[in-house]
Amino acid sequence: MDFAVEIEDLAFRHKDGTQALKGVTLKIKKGSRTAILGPNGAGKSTLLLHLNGIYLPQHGTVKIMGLESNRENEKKIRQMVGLVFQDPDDQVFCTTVWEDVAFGPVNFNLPDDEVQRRARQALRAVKLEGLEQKMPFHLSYGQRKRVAIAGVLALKPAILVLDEPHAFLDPSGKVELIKILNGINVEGNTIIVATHNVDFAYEWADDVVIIKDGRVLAQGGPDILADEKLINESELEYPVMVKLFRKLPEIGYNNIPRSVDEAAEFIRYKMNKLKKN
Amino acid sequence: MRNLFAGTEGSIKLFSAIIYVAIVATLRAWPYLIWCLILYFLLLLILRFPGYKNIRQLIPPLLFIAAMSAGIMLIDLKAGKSIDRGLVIFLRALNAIYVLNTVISSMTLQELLSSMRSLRLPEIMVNLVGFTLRYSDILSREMNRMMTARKARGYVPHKSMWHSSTMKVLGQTVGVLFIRSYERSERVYQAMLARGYGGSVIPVGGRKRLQKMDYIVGLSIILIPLTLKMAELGVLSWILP
Ligand SMILES: Nc1ncnc2c1ncn2[C@@H]1O[C@H](COP(=O)(O)OP(=O)(O)O)[C@@H](O)[C@H]1O
Ligand SMILES: [Mg+2]
Repeated sequence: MDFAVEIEDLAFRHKDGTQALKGVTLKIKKGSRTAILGPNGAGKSTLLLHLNGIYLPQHGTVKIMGLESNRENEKKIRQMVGLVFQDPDDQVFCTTVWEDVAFGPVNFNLPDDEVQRRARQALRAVKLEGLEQKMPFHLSYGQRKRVAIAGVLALKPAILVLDEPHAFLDPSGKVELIKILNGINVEGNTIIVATHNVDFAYEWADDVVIIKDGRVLAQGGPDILADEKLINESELEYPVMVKLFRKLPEIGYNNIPRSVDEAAEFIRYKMNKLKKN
Repeated sequence: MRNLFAGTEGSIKLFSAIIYVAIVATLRAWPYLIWCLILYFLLLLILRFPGYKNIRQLIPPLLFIAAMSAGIMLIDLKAGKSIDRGLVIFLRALNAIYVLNTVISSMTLQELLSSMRSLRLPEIMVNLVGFTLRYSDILSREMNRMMTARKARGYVPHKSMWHSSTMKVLGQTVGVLFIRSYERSERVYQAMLARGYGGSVIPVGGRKRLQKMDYIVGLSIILIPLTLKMAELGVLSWILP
């Protein structure tokens, strides 16, 4: 099995002495959609900053596409891993949307026509065509977030990492986000999303990692989010679908549906079966 | 229509602007300084650059300089001299700020930084300018956020700045503002690193081949103060009949 990310016993202490990671071990498959779940302060952001060499391991190892993260490889790793920060205002700083989206490709010394093409593609992927010459600060929060995503997509990273992409997005922004992520994943990229949004993780991810207090509590398919002991221990909550179906054991199911659409399908199927009897 | 000024290669514009400022700093008569401004403004118009749009951005720095010049004028007036000295200082600064502001605002950030590098300006200065431009916005926005949050909790600043509670809140605000801005600028820097920014990775400057038009624009910018300097020195009266 090929892994996009392999982390072995990673520990990290911040400058002020906070021990944010206390021995994290995990593997993320190439081409997977992985959700890293955990309550606030669990160490998600700190972990993500290790994925593209912004933080180098103080203890343990991080391998990206088989390449160990260290000072020598950090540049290569940054080209493979695109990191979208939680707050777009941390990331988007150029005076026009276009300039900001082109910032990364220019830094990696791509030829001019390639920079242009990538910026155009990235803006199309996040549906911001026509706003190229706008000042990012004049856009709405959701639009700025999409500028931030486009700025990373323009790098065409093999691994796309997003830190709490749902934070402060309105409902339609969340729907758009899932569409954008699905569009990218079709191309075979690995996508890693840190979040405490269990509903999103349950519906979208095919692999879930739960972390708390700088340690991995569990890793597995989304069905681990229906595990009572794990949910209590991790200070998370059940996804809405799990909450609902746990109250309806009489329906009879093996797997709890992962989305509203799946649930509707399932209930319709059950009702049809009832009618026939 | 194409904006010829913005289209001119960055390092030439920047170089000409620096020469312009250097010459203007030696002009001694205020009418010549005003002529410089007028001619430069006309040049921008010919090159289809809307130079009037930059005027608003000049206000904050000009307020400082105006206050300083006014002070000098007052001192001179009291001493029974003319106000020319203060006026000249004000106009020199106005020239410098306006020319640099229009040149810089006609470039993208990348263009500006790579222009500075190709002019062999010290690396530290290039980074300083780069980061100032990137972070100046951060400071003011953190400030706004904190002010809003404070107002939302019913804080009303006392009329007098020197009232003790106002001073205390102000002091705390400034303190927290710096910590927050520092932390944010660290995150901004990390985000830039994440997209391949690095001191050693210089965006290739001068990708654009220099053309005749670039030289013409650069020369025109320099010629404005140069002509007036020559006029001031009386050179023109030797040449002209
Ligand atoms: N720059 C920093 N300096 C000091 N401590 C930090 C810094 N960033 C995060 N921490 C601390 O590290 C721990 C993990 O934080 P973080 O990785 O941001 O968690 P999460 O993203 O899961 O909310 C928290 O206790 C937090 O206070
Ligand atoms: Mg976080």
